[in-house]
Amino acid sequence: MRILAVDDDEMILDLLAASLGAAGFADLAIAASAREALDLIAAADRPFDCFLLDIQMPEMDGIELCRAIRRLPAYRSAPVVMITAMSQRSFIDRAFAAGATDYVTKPFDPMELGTRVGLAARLVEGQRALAEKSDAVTSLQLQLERERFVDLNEPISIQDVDSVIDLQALENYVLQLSRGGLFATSIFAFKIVGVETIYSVSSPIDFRYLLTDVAEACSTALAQHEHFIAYAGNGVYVCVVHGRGALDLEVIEGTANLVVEEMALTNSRGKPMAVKVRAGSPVRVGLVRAGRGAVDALRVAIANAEQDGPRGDGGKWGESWGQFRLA
Amino acid sequence: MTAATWADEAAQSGDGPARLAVRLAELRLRFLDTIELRLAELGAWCDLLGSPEADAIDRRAGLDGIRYGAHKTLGLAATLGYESLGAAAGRVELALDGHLRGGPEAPALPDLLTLTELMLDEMARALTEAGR
Repeated sequence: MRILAVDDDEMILDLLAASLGAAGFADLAIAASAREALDLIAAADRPFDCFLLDIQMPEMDGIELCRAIRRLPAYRSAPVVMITAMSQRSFIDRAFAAGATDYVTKPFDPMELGTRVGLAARLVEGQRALAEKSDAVTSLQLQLERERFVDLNEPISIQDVDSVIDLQALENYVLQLSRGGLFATSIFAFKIVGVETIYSVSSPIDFRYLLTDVAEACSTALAQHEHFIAYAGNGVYVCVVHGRGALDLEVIEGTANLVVEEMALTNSRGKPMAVKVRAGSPVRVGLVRAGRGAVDALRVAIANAEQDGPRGDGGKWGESWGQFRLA
Repeated sequence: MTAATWADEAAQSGDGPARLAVRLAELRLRFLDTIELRLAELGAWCDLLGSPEADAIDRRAGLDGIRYGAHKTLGLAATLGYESLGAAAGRVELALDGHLRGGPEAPALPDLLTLTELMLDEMARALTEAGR
């Protein structure tokens, strides 16, 4: 613990040094006046941890010095032990009003002084530990917020949901599918209805949780099929589903919404979040060439979901060959 | 050797109490040196204050001088083994503060001088006991 002792009496400073040294406090700086103390504080390459201040000194007294120290941001909570031959209450009150944390009256027992400074040292250690914990918590919070921050259009990674992979991974996946594999593959996308509004009223963490929950619902709705899902940003989940039969998107969409409803989603303040998903028109990729064509099909499916307009005739989903070919 | 170096050496030695005792003995000798000088100074201030020729400025200088001497003595005397001197110095400082504040219960100057003389007696006794 780095201590600065201030007293205009050289013998008192010597006595303080002897007492503190005996108590194991080796890192001591001394000043013979308040001005000298403030100069030392200003020039210190690392801050002092504790101050011992004589009250009665010429020019600026110890109480004024204490007040000046307290005005320095680095020393707002550093222990300041006043050392005074004056036991009158007014001095003590003034010292505490100026920010002192303890006082010792002269004459003092050298061993007792060591004990009092030891108490201050524990205070310093406690504050340091608290500051370290606080710094760690702040750092974690920042990291959490940084990691949790979601841009609406960002195709974020959703963890721990079966069959849900990153968009880049899904593109890589469809890229490697052979023409045969593509033949029995459908691609479509879900979109969260009114995602812009939900995003605007949700905290980043709430929005991320929401995206994860909806991904879970989509995956559940597709449980009867071999599938992969990726979040593509803007509330859109693109799904690659294998199977020779046509997808009943009405059932799938209904199931997804039922699962979402059963989740009874709320934000972190416990407020219910009304969420619905809508399935966009599917893209059958059976006849396209493998490779980039399959990746393009993903983009068409995403665009279909983004349109969010009225469905095909009779409210049914129509396959988007035309759009796909344009893409 | 500076005070800071003392603290460092005492802490590093790991023999704090023994080194403290040595330091206190050294400080006691220095204190007696100081007391020797202070005794003469304070005696002079008392003479000035008791003089019928002293004016207000002289009196104020005398009171400040006595207060300073008593204050410095009080700070160290008891810690270095001179409890009765420390107590006497404390009584002087307290009475002097009261005298300077004024008011109906403020100690009068003669009382103040009596207390100061008692402090000087204690100083003289400490010096005598130390063989000076």
